[in-house]
Amino acid sequence: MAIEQTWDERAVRAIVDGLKDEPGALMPILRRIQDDLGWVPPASVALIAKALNLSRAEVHGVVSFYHDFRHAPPGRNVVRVCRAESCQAMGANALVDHISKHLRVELGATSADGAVTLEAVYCLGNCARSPAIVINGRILGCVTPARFDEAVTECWVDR
Amino acid sequence: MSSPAKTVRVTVDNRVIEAPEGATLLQVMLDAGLDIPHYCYHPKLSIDGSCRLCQVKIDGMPKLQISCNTQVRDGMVVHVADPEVESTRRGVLEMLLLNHPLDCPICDKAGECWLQNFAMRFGRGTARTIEPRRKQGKRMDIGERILLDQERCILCRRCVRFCREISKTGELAVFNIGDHSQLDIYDRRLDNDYSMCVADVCPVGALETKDFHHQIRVWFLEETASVCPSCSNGCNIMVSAARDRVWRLVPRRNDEVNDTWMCDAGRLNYRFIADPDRLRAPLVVRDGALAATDWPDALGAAATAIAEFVKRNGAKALGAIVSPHLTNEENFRFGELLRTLGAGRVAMAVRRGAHDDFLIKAEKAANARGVRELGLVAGPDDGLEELLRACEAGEIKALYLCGDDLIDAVAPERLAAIVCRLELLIVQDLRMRPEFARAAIVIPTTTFAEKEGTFTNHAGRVQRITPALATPPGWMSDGEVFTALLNLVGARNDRFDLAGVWAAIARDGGRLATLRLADIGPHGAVLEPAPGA
Amino acid sequence: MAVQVVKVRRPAQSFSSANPWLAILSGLWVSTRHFLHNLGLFMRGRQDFAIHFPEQRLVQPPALRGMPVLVQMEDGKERCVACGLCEWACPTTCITIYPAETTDEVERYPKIFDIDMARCMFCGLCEEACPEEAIVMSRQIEIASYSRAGSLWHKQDLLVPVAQLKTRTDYLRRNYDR
Repeated sequence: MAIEQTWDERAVRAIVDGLKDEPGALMPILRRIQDDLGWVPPASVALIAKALNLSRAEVHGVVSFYHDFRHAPPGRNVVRVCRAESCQAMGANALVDHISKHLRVELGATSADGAVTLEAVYCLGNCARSPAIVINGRILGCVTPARFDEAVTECWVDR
Repeated sequence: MSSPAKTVRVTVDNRVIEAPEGATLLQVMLDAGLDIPHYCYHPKLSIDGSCRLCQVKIDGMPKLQISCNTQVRDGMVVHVADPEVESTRRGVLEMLLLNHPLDCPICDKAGECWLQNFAMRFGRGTARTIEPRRKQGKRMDIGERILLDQERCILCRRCVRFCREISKTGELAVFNIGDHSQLDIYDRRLDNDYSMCVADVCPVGALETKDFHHQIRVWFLEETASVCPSCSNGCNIMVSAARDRVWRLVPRRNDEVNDTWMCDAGRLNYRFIADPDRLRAPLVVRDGALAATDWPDALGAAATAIAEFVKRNGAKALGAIVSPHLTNEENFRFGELLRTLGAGRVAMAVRRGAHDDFLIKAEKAANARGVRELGLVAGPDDGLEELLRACEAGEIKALYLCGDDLIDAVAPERLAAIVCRLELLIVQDLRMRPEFARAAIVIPTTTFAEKEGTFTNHAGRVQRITPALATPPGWMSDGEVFTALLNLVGARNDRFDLAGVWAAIARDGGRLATLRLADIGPHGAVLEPAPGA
Repeated sequence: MAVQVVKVRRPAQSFSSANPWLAILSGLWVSTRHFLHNLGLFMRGRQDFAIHFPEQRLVQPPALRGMPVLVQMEDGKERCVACGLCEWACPTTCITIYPAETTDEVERYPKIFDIDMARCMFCGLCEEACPEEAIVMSRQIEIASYSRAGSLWHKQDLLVPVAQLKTRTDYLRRNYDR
């Protein structure tokens, strides 16, 4: 990452201290950090490694293994579009183009004003209702551009 | 294992193999001499199960099983020579080779590469892919002594487990997922004291030591089993020699000493063998200056000088410093020589350095314990301080000095003062050191790579070394030097050979006499504990 | 290190190579053909059948194995990467290579590449072993020298531009199953 992002060290430390005694604590800690902060700050790797008596390389290995863990803070809204086989067959790529144009954000990026992050995911387990997307944690199936526009107004957060 | 004595029977391809219960199936098959390809399994590391190459068919199991993560059970029926197993191996190898750069001509592992070997033996022979191979980091400088080539890596994680479990430093890890996975360091370079072991455990050429990088092809190397001379741990090694020089030292497995590891300092400590400053001929003072001469002349001069000195000053004024770098046999002969001469004081100087709680020991010499077990020296500092005081007091006026550890063990000014007081100094060493410029006779010593004998490690394990290099014609090893001197001063007619010296050791009845030469196998033999110890 | 022998499956033998008497017959046919050819020339009045070396020279066929040389690429560098296979394959151990590292993309090159022509027996095994087509048997056969030192050829003497070796490399690709 070019720019070092600021991160809430206190919050991370509290999560780590709360969970570090659980068996196999690394994944619960990382997931909680991602849930609370929206991302896993690269700088928190050292803190987690020290608490769990792992090496920093091992912790980073796990963080980089799961694409779900973000390395940068997301926008205020997160739109995730499934691009796995079933959804692609049902027009996910066209949907991505539409969303990208509509929200003025590239796939895999956060808009300049920090309003929205558009991410690709590979299978949400909703193949029967392809194409599937997730807007701010809400899963939607059989999404057409029109349905997307409708859903966006419903689920949108703008603090 | 719950009950250690229980043995189970496993049938592999109609052959019944007995094994201890709970043993790993792969290890059982390898021990039985079966040729089972595998990458990620290493007997001294935890099980990873990532390479999928050791799969075998086991009756009663629905799919092929990785034998490295299967424990043997009584009555297990295993099939290895099976079309399904063979086709699986071909598939695994083809997948491992998908992105492999096939740069064997410039890879130092070529010739001892497990990917080459298994692909030749079990692979399908040709590639079916037409897509370009993935480009990744090459020649990455990830540590002081190690280079990483990510393209060659097959992600077996042996090195990762080594860093986690053996060196306990955790520098290496595999990052990202699937076909983006790559081995790398994170924020700490691979600079631990055992880092070069990752090149040993690496089955391919992904991790290479800088020291051996582009030096020589491995198929030219002749490997000789030996013992590391760099500290008193006595790690078992192979000396790889070719073209009259040593190219590398690699660890040899000995579960009682070093498992399959060795430290970087020991591994890199072989250049002194080919030191350009090494003495090539004995030196004797002629017309006030040291001049090169031949061996019989130098030894004759030494015997005469000692005899004249003893006549003038008495044998009690003669002192000796034993080298902890010489073998038990050589030091035994030296002891015989000193007894024959009636030397006043004998001591040993040992260079000391850093140590850890794994393999690296503080005493930087291979055979300090051996000298003590031979009874040549006594006392907590091996009699060194007493001998030095005796020199300063003028009681000792002549010194037969073996090795140069004295330079590190004694403060320079004190050493210079002592050397100045000596009437006669005979030095037997690798190089001509300025500290000993006043020596009357300088005899070259022979390194561990050029002679045979035994070293006794810190734990009392007596282990054999074998010559990897030939010495020039006419050269005399330390044992031959001591024997020749003994023949001159004691009017004897001995030769120096291991069997003869061991017969003398047995007659002598010291601690070493509890062993016989034949007892000392490839992994050495332990001295019985001292009575009262 | 114990040398392990890898058994490579040979291509199936052709009818002629499996039947040695055919080879004898074809050899006899070559001699007979030359005899008849020269006889024809003689009948038509030709007197001189010798080639007056060195004023006259034969054009050597590409199958000729002359002195082994190193292929020099357009940029002036050798193609050799010092893999050491020719050194290992050489039955007379006349090749000596010391590798070294460069900053080029192909990171390895021969710092020293010596061939002792006094020992070389022109068997061509080095050429066959080479994975890079970097050492080939040239058509150069005049390699006499006045001293033993003169028969030790170093890398700079052995380099021959790739364009001059085209006949041989084409022959290799055609006949050596590459």
